[in-house]
Amino acid sequence: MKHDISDFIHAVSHSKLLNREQKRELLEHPEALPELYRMELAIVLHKYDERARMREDEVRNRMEEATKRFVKDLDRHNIPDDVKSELLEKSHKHVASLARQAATS
Amino acid sequence: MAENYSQQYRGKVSHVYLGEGKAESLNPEVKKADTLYNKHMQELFDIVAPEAAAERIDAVNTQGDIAVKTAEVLRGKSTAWQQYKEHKNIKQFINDLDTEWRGRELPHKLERFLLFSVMGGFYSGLDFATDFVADTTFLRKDVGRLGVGKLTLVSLDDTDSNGNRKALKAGWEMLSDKLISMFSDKSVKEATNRDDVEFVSPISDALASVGNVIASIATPSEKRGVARFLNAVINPGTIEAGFRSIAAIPVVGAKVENMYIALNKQLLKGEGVLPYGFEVALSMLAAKESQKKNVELIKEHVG
Repeated sequence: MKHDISDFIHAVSHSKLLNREQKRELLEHPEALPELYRMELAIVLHKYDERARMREDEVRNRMEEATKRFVKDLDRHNIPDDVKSELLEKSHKHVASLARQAATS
Repeated sequence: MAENYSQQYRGKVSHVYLGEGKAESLNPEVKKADTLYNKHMQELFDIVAPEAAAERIDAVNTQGDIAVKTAEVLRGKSTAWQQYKEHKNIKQFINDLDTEWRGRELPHKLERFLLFSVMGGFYSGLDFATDFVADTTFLRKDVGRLGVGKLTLVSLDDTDSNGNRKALKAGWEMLSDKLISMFSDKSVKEATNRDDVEFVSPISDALASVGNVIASIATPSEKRGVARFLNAVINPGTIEAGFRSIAAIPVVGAKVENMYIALNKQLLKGEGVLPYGFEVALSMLAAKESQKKNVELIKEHVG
């Protein structure tokens, strides 16, 4: 029972699907929820988080590939280094935020 | 001097702002870089946009899964027995089972039972009183006729050979039952301040009609006390109050209430066997009464 509750608590508190208010509600009295319900909810939330993580990794990989192609294009067209570094810095910032948004928009 | 002047700016100024309008870059590499950057941003958008849409669909489906799991849990815990296995409280189990069978929470069960019992007793008393009035006035055995002055409307004899006394009593019973029914309906209308409500339901009305006929046929004429009791109890108001007071009993009353509702629905819609059954019962009882009369007349004639 204790392991079950801790798994449920972990799943809810780290869930990418639930907002803060929902987490607070579910974690208020977890022992009052039926055991089967806790288990199934934890499974659902784990699976969603897993899929979100995979999506995030996939998107990040593809965007890094796109960034490498961008760097090659910049080199091929002899773009000055200062301009190149400025553009790459902007691109990296975009890639990071877009990857997060794609995972849990 | 001009050479020195221009040297300090060489390589530093890439474009000049010309006021309103777009500033044109003089450096072709930078212009090319902007183009490549825009192309790169478009490529990033083409990667992210479908994934963001897929994520939305996934989130919605997951939330739906959670709702379904919650519903399954609630369904599994919806029976009173399932809940009793957890709390082991008999009183709560009885209340939950009653609610489950009734389909609604019925508050104040004891008060309802007492109220409708009193109402049923009152209506029985009213019916008894009307019967008593009839038996001690125009239905007395020494009353030979009913009429105005010398005009005889109904002739009566102490043996009721013509059946008029019995018919008069049956008619009076129907009239008094109807008056009691109207009185109870009016009371409810006044109490609730609504015109679209009544106290007596179709099933109570129907049972009273059939019941009175049965009672008058089945009860020997010498059993006046029994006849009076049955006539007093078999009236729409008392039958309705009886239904409602029994329906107020926990658990058992829930099934009685379900039956009461089902019977009334049949009568209101004119569907099912019940309306047909009542018609047949009344017809058969009337025929039996008529047949009994014919037999008595034949016996008199032959005897």
